[in-house]
Amino acid sequence: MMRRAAAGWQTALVATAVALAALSVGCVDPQKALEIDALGPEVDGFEESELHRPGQPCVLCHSDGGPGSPTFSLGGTLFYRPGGDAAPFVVPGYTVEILDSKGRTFRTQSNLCGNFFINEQDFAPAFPVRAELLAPNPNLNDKLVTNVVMTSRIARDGSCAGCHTNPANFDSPGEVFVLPVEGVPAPEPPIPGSCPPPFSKVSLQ
Amino acid sequence: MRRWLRALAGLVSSAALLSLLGVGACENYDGTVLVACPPAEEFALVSRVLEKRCGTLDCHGSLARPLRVYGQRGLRLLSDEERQDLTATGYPGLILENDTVPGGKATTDEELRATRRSICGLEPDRMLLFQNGDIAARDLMLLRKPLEIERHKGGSLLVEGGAGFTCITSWLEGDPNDGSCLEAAQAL
Repeated sequence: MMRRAAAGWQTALVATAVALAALSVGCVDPQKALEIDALGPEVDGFEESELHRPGQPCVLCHSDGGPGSPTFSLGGTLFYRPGGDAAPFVVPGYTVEILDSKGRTFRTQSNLCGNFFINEQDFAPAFPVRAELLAPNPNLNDKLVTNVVMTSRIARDGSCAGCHTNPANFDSPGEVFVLPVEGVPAPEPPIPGSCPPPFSKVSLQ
Repeated sequence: MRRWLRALAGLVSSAALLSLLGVGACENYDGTVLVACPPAEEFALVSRVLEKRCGTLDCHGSLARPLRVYGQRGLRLLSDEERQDLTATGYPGLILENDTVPGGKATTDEELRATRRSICGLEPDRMLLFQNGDIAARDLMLLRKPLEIERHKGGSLLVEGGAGFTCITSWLEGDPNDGSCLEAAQAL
């Protein structure tokens, strides 16, 4: 009877261990999963690449445990507002400079579809950080022109679109946009079809 | 087998007894407890520090936080009319028209009041203890977290004895130190 009882306890112990292991493998952050699902699928005609999903929160996926690779420390999209009723469009070739709390700076440039990102292995900033946008200088190739300095600090969210959603609202200043600069030609909209449409609607029900 | 049944019966009885005690405790609760909050008149300078250090949109400038900080460069407080318009249309038309957006109009008096209410309502029981002199300001969660006495996602944002710390504690203690607040706001 004692031997049967011991065997019973051993079986129960093994079963518990297996169950716990199964639970841990399937254990994901449900809030994060909900937010990622809400971003929707890739736009038809555009596969996963550095040009995809302009205006979406990059680091939500490109983070430890997220579905995106590589892991970013910061990422976002730059836009230009032409004015009037015209919709903002993505801007390539502008530089984003990050100054972190340890006094280190890092620069990266927006690509064809306005996206920019910093791989965590290249630069893992100490938050809070200061962000500045610099415009290309047509007169002096190696000297950039200060365009916009972010008026608040980025406390911990590496996704610009974590806060900068479109349209502006009580909890969003709107998309990250560059300003017109004297002497710097105004950005041109991208060639139709070269970039996915920005601002896929994100709504959490 | 019988031993097992007896143990289970004991557990069920204990749980039932505890539930009854709990119900009795709730029935003995007899009204609203008023918690004094430090003066609103002196809060504007304190708010400037909180808005900069705590109130960014990715931290306490969010409706999802128990401690909510409203302000010009973070979370904005909607008027009833703006809220109704947003709910009805799904589009922030009136919000944009009124410039009630981060980076828009200056921090309003209503936003200062809302932030102050959030501070005092964060731990009303402990705020009462603090007001009675039973605990120190640093024992409030408002300071425990940025001092990292308690785990804080935002990390260490205040140094005990520093300008920001002095600004907040002096206001809490009813003798605001404007110089510390100005220094703390400038440093950012």
